[in-house]
Amino acid sequence: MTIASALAIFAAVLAMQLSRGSLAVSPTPFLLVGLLACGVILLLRMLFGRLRRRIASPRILAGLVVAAALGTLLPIVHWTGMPPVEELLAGSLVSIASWMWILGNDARRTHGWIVGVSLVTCLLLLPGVDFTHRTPVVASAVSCVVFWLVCDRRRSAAGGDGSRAVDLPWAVGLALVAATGVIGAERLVKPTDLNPSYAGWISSSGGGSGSEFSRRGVGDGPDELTSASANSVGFDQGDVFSDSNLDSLYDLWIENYGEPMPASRFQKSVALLAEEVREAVKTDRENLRAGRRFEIRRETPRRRETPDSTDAAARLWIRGPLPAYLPMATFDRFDGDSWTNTEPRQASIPVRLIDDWMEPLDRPISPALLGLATYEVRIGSLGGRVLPMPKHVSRFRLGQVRQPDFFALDPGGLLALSRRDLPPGAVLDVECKTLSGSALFGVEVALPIHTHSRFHDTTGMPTELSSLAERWSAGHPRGWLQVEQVLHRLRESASFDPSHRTPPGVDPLLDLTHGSRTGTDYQFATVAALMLRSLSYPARVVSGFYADPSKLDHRSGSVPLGSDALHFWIELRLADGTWVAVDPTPGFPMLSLPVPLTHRLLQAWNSGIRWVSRHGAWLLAVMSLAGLGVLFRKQLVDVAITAACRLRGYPLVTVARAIETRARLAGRPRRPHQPLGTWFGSLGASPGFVAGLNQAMYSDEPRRVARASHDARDTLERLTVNRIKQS
Amino acid sequence: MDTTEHHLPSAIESCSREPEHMQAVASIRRTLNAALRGKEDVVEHVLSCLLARGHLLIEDLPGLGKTTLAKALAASVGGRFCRIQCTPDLLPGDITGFSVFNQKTREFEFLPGPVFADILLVDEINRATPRTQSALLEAMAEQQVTVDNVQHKLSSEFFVIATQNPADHHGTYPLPDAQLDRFAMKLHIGYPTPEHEMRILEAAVGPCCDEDSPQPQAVVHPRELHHLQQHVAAVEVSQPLRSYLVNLASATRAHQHVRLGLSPRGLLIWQRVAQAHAFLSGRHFVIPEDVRAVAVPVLGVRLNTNPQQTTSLVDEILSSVAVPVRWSS
Repeated sequence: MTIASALAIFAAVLAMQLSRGSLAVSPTPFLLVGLLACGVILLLRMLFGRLRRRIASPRILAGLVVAAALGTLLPIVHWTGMPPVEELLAGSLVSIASWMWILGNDARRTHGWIVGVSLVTCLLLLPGVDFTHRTPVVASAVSCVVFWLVCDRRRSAAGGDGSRAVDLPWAVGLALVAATGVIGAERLVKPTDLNPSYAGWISSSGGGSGSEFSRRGVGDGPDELTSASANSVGFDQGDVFSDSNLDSLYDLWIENYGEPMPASRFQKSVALLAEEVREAVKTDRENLRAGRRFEIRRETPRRRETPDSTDAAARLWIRGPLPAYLPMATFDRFDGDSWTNTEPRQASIPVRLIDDWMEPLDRPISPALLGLATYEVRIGSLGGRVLPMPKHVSRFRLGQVRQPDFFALDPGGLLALSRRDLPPGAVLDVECKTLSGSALFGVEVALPIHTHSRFHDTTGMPTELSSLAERWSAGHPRGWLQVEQVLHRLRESASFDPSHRTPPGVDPLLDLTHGSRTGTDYQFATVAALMLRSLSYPARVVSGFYADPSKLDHRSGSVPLGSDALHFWIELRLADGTWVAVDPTPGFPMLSLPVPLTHRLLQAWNSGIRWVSRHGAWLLAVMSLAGLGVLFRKQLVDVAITAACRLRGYPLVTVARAIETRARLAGRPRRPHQPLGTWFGSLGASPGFVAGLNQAMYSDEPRRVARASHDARDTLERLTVNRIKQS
Repeated sequence: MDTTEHHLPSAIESCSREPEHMQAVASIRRTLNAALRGKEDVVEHVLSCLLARGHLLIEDLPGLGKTTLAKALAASVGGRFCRIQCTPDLLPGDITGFSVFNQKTREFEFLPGPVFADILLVDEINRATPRTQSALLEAMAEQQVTVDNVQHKLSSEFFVIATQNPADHHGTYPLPDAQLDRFAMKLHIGYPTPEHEMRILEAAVGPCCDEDSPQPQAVVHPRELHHLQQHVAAVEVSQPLRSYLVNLASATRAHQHVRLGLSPRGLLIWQRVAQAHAFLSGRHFVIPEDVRAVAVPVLGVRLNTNPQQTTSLVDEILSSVAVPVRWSS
């Protein structure tokens, strides 16, 4: 049985791993966890076997078990803040299995409800889980059932009641069939997706959809009819809109994040740098300048309700490994109100043509970039010149463009078109390298310190933030672990709300860390970048599109990206000059730093401790109440049933039932084949009570069953739990 | 206080309602206990059997008081008592009676046999041949005998007490299942305790023969007995108890060590005997204890096992069926 249970745990962990589809990466932490758990379980079981013999009172043992279970589960529960849900499930599954195993044969009833609680937890977690993660959830639920069946079999084998026994091979076979069915069904039958992925591709002539805007027949198609002219986005070539020459990213920002809030004229005065003064004199074209500045004080976005604005929801579509981050603008300088890009424009041609593909001259060379991914990006009504591509591009192809001089570098180092805006309808094929977390840890532990670089500039940073950063980073070695620690604490201390707007007069940064503790992604990115800068890590803020796997349209296999896909994150520079994207916003897991399991476990433990210390008072209250409830449960039940009898005026049948419950509490229940009268007589009930009860039970004649009977009341008072136990 | 009185247990109530019935029962009980010392439980069963209008099979060793019990019962009920000593050469006509040719009237005339009695003691029934045994079948089941195609009604209080000797297997014909099913119960008297044996010896000093010792007197009239039996038949059996009985019956049929389960006739008899037991306990309704109390003698005659096995088997069957409990009032 020991081997069978260990195998079952192992199989569950393996199933989880398989469903993640990442067996290629080995050795996986899950398998290690599984092995570790098995060892720990065996050790604990030996230990507990000895303990059990020493501790006579099962109550003390139960208390120990509950305390230990809470100690294990609390950090894991807190871990839900960290998104890999399947890891949580695996962890809880392993811990449940270990507890069940530790408790062993002596606590048959206990593990029944442990399994029940875990199943309920799984069900509660289900709505919060992404579509792609449902398989592991189902798999873990199935494994729970298998465990239960196995335990049930053990229980029946121990109890000698063979009727409910389920053979282990049957249970495992059942679970396998169920798991196969679930996974197969998920693979074969994709849910129909309501994503408007074709909204931008097919222009409709309107009508029928019920929208008043669609009746006019214009405006709901994509802006594919834009002319080649940078100034013309109208329906017709000659239709020139003078106010439409702003950068499209700028529009999207306004649409998603709201208008910049005009700062009070005398609120702040900042000395301008020399190049900024020059810049101010030499007025740049507004559409070029617009994407290079982002104010973090913003008004609530207003939905534009004019028919002209009912254009396609999606600006581009992306197909490839998800999630994907597409940087569109980078910012290196912060003045307390807004981010700007101060990098000078580079004039050289950044790409060359090799084998029909465009290859950037500074190809990604960092040893941490091990993986390779291929994306296909379809450009819709996205204006601007920056190519919407993921980071670390090794080569790309834009439609039929085969001339390297069509491309230039954006100030932020992003590839862009040099002469015109992005052509709507064009397809961009991209091959890019992906970051390998373990390699990143192995190679690039330390980050360079250039104290004079503009990526360390902390102008406009409130002093509270730097002290907070120091406090959060204290005690951790410099490097990725420290960075991750700061980001983890930031994610933990505040919650993400895309619609949150800082009230006027409040610093948006301090609002996030000390005030309302709620903020949008640009607040998180700003705070994270400034904090890391204050700890001498080179950091910059990036804005662009985030391709969310949950928005995947299964029919086309692509994710539509509109203004709601806009996102802010940060980038850190490695020693070799590679910028690595890191996402400080909670709920965006994939670009968070890969951290070793040991460190994450430690983090989870610390988080649990912090949570406990923060909610210590009421936790203690609840725990002690629950403990008292558990300790005095028999007395509580007794008091409740006695009160119920008194309330109903001591009817004989109710009193008899109450005494039967008491006997169950006293551990001397009536066997089903024992006649009530005989049994009550053996307990010492008065003959009058027994006779009355018999009449109430078995005679259909006028049911003059005694209410307020003396006998009943007397028996109820006499046959207490303790008396029954002693009799 | 008057509320308590109003809800007095039913036992006292029914006693006070029909005192003369209980007195009659008590006097029969007293008579039987005087004849068979120290066997109150056996006497209770005999009384249940009598009131349930069932026939009684007593299986025990010789000299334990089978005949004494039967004679005392017959005497106390005040009916006509007959006794048949079964031997292998006993013929059916010896039991039912036969027609003889009357020389005077030149007609056949029916001479009633011992079966035309109120209480019939069939001693050592398993010594009679099957042919003779089955002559009793009709008499016990339908209270009539057919001789020469003429039906003759038996006494309405017709009650058979049969005895058989388990030790003596030589020259016996075991009763067939059909015959056994006609009996309501099978009892074992068993040896009396030493104290009772002392008292039996003490009572035997003095009287020289049976005539000298005091004979049991009739304490009830047969008509009165009939009245009592009618009362027993009216004892209430509630729906949960009926289903309890049915469940028990199917449990006997499902049990792996029982060759032949309880027949519907057996079930009917069980209910009637349980009713009698409830009546004897002074109740006008049956409770599970009544059903269980008579289970061993009632099932013992039907399950066709030896006495030692019967008790454990019946215990097993009883503990496999849950007692009905009606919590909703």
